[in-house]
Amino acid sequence: MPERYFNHFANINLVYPIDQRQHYERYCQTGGRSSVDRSPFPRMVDFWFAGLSLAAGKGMKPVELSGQNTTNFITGAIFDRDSWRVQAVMLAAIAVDDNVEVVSDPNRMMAIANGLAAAGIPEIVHLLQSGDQDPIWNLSDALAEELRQS
Amino acid sequence: MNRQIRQARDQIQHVDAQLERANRSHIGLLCSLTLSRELMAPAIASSIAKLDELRDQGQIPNSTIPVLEERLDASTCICGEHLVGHDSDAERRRDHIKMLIHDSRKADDLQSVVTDLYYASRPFQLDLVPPERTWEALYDDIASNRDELMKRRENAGRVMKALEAMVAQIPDSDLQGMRQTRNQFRDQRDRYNRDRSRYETELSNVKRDSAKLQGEYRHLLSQQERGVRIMADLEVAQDILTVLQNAYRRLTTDELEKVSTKMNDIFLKMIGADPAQGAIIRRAEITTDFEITVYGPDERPLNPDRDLNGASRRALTLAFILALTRVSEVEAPNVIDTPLGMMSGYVKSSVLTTAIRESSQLVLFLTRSEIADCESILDRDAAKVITLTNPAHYPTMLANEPPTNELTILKCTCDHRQECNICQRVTVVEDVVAV
Repeated sequence: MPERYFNHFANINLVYPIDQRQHYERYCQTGGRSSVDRSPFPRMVDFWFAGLSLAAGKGMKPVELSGQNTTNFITGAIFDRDSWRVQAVMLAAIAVDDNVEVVSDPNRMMAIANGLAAAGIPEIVHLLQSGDQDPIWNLSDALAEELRQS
Repeated sequence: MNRQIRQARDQIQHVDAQLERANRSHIGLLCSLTLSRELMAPAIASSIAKLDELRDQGQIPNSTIPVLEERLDASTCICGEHLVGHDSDAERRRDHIKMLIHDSRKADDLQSVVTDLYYASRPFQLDLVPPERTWEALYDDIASNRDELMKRRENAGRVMKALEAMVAQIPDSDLQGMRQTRNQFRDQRDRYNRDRSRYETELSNVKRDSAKLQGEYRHLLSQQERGVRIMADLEVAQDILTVLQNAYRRLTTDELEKVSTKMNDIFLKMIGADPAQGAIIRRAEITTDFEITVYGPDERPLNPDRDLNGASRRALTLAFILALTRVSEVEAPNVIDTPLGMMSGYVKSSVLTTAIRESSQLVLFLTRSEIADCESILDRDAAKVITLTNPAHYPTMLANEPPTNELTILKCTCDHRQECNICQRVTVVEDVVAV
């Protein structure tokens, strides 16, 4: 069976809480930072997705962003470059809602994804900073340890 | 040492490039499906379990339709039973499959999306990932590679620093001197390069000028050759001109005077004029304007047309011809038609005698009246005499009918004292006699 792909989130915004802006600016190379070791995420969506993945895996509860000050940093069209992220978001949403019917509501799925990312980013930042090495090594070693234990 | 430094620098650049690639692989790993799949593994497992449950419940039918349609196109069912033929079992099976397809088409959008997700979720199933493709395995590879590259980078850096230290140990004075020498050689090289460039430009210009001058040289050479030919022709023409001018000058001076003197002598003898005896005609001459002039007493010029009679004018003409022939020393016959006309007596005899004496070979056409009184001279000096008769003179002047009526001249061998049937005349002899 061939892999099917349709980007349900092409017109839906990816957001993060404003109070996480400093983390995005510090650890993403989008802002002109070129040091791989200190800013290990090429784009904000990569940082955002790392938070989402960690939060989903740890079973964190998505942060409720409605009513919070948030920043729309890009639309879901960015997933066209990495189409597997569409399915990842859908699978995460099913897991959070514990209901497959959520896949019929892209806005809901993206709300869950934004909430998971907002929940996971502080943990990612913690991993980036927990150690005496450069952030990329701190994060990588911590993730390796995390995956080893899981 | 320079070579070593260059090699160390190349090694550093090479390792830096490898490090750059390793860094990109490292950050790519942090953004990869592999990491998300493993981080999200519990959630994904939960979701996939729900999808599997739906599949088990037949709630994910969309994949069934293509399979069922495929079976309808084939000859056997999934269970191995025949689907073709006209037996009732085959028709029943086919009807059942068609019914299943019909039911499946009722699936709503949710089922469609869930179906898509179900089949697209395979890459997220952790148990399908080989051990060497797990995130940890990939990270170990990348980390080992980066560590190795970092060590190589540090080694290369140490080598570079060691080389720099060796350079630093070279005495400053030597370095300074070497730098000065290097700068001098660089200046010299630059100077030579500038000179070479300038000389190349000059050479190019000279070659261009040379080509142009060679063209001009060839053009001038051809002009010179043409000029030489023209000069030779001119020299020949000038020589001819000189010869002709000299000849003309001699003709107009010496020869003219000779002719004039000779003409005067012959003329005076012909007309029997003796200036010493007081003759009216004293002398004749040819002027520098080539006019024949006759002078009387006291150098008084006489007009030949008015002051000379016909015999003297004819004598003057014959004297000029004979003098011209004599002075020019040309050995040629003088052919004169009726020279003694209008002459008689002494003048006629004198003219005939003088003409015979002054000519190398004289041919005269004489009428019988001109011959009259000169027969004895002809008897003495004529070598050959023949008679020419015009037959048209018959019968007015000829006594006998000519043998022909054509317009011609009849010749006979009669001399100035003989006649025959051809030349016999009826009256006074007037036929032309050639001597």
